[in-house]
Amino acid sequence: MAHRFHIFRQHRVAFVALIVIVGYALIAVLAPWLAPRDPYSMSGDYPLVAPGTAGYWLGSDPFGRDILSRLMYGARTSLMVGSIAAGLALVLGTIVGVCAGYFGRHIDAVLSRFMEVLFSFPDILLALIIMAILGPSTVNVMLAIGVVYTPIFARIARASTLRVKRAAYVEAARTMGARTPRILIRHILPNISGPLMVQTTLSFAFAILAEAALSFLGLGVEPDAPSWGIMLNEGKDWMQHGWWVAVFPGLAITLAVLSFNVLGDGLRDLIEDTG
Amino acid sequence: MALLTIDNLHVRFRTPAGLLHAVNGVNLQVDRGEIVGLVGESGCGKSVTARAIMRLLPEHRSAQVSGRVVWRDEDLLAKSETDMVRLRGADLAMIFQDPLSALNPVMRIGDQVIEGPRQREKLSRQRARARAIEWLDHVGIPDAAARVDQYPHTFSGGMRQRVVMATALSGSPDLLIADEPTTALDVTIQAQLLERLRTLQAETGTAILFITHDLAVVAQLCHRVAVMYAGRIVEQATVAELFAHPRHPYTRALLNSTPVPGQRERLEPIPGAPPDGLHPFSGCPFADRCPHAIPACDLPPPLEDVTSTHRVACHRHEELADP
Repeated sequence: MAHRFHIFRQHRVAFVALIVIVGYALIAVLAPWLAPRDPYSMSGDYPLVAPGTAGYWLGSDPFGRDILSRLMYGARTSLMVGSIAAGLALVLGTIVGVCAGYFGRHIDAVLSRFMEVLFSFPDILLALIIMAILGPSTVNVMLAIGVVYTPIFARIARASTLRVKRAAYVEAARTMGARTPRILIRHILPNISGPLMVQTTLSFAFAILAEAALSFLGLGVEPDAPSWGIMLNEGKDWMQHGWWVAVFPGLAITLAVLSFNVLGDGLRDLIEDTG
Repeated sequence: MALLTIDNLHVRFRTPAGLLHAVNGVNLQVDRGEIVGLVGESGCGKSVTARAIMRLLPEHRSAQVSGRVVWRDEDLLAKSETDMVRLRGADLAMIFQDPLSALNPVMRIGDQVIEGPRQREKLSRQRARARAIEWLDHVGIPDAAARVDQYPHTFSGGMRQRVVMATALSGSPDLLIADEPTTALDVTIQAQLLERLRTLQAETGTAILFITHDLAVVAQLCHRVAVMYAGRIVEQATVAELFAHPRHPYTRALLNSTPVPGQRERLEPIPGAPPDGLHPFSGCPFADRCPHAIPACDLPPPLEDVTSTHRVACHRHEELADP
């Protein structure tokens, strides 16, 4: 009974997280209509105004740009980078992992060693190296973060494939004359999708964080693009004069990352519950 | 006419403990439209023989397969994987022991039943669905039209084995290899399933190689039976002959260790255990456990004809024959 209540509560928290994420997504999509001001327009008359004054609900930055509007546009950057980077890692990692797990032997040895080399770099360091080579741009951030998180997916996909490929229904499918591509797509892939979905959700959080970190360091998206990481970077120099410049983007990042993590944990519980 | 002829089939596995001799020169023939039982205790090589026919063994890793498996006029062991893919499901199909794991849990029943034909014949979605319903109905799934879209977890064990049967038969194979398909089921479900299998066999004319350790099932279903021991066929005959006049001491021992309803005779277990396959031997594999063993049993007994339909591999089968 206590166990059931626990799971119920866990799922309720995950549900709240889902609502927050949907909220972020709506804001991101509708930013051009929702934002009270142009996020790029500077105003010499209103630099660094406190939250609430003169229609700047969350204040303005040192260049007189509206923080709220920039946060809303920043949600677009974060979610776009997050979804494409996590999606890229999911696709690449799954292909590598399933091939390594299913074909085994030399293919497994080569792919797994390569993934382990990637894995052995600290996340941000590897992303920094890639960004330093490719140069800062939104597309490159997605590529870099996607590559960095590929090995996690490859590892999960490989382990799950090793388990599923010995299942009787895979052998049964072979005796029915199913070819290898069909076995991989129809029999292996759907049966390993659970853990991969959980990891995708968690990676979303990592990717948002990584984007913010790279942008903070000036190796992320283009400098004038609204990004939570860039806002945080600009705001840190003004903490004593205008705390709001850094605090609000920080809160936006925290809430988004927290929500994705909670949702990921909830999904994992759900999958483990239903077996 | 012989559909499948297995000629001196050997299967060995490389294991950390050494070379394991799983199948040691099996000779067996299955004719068109015939049900042949392959009987033997666990580990005697029945399933390995079945997988060798289907070419499902890990041949490029641990398994060494030699001999010939002649399908019509062609040796299956010489075929490429591409050719085998074409034969599997369409010419030869196979069903497995555990119905609970033989179905993909995240694929609809109907899609699984028609998976084979759908790949080969490029059926439209509606045609495939209709065929799937037809087959589910054939194997005795009640309300097939409603159940075709459901997932395996909503089916009981017996129902799942019926679905597996439909899956194997939907490709209209000429030979169905059934590897202990009823072992995991309870006796009443088993009886229903065997009855259904016999009806379907009579309708479609598919030959069946039925692997089991259960002599009662053989008596109920099969036309002919081959008794396997330690990777060899020790006796084969028509079901009537084998049950009435078993020649090989192992076959007799097997029959004596099977309960007969209505009789309260004490069952006789077979003393000892079968050879483990890691230590090859040249003589009769049953000699160690055989009450009739003589020094000559150190030499391999040839498979000799007793009658045109009855063959046995025992040096003393003539002396030991029923008076």
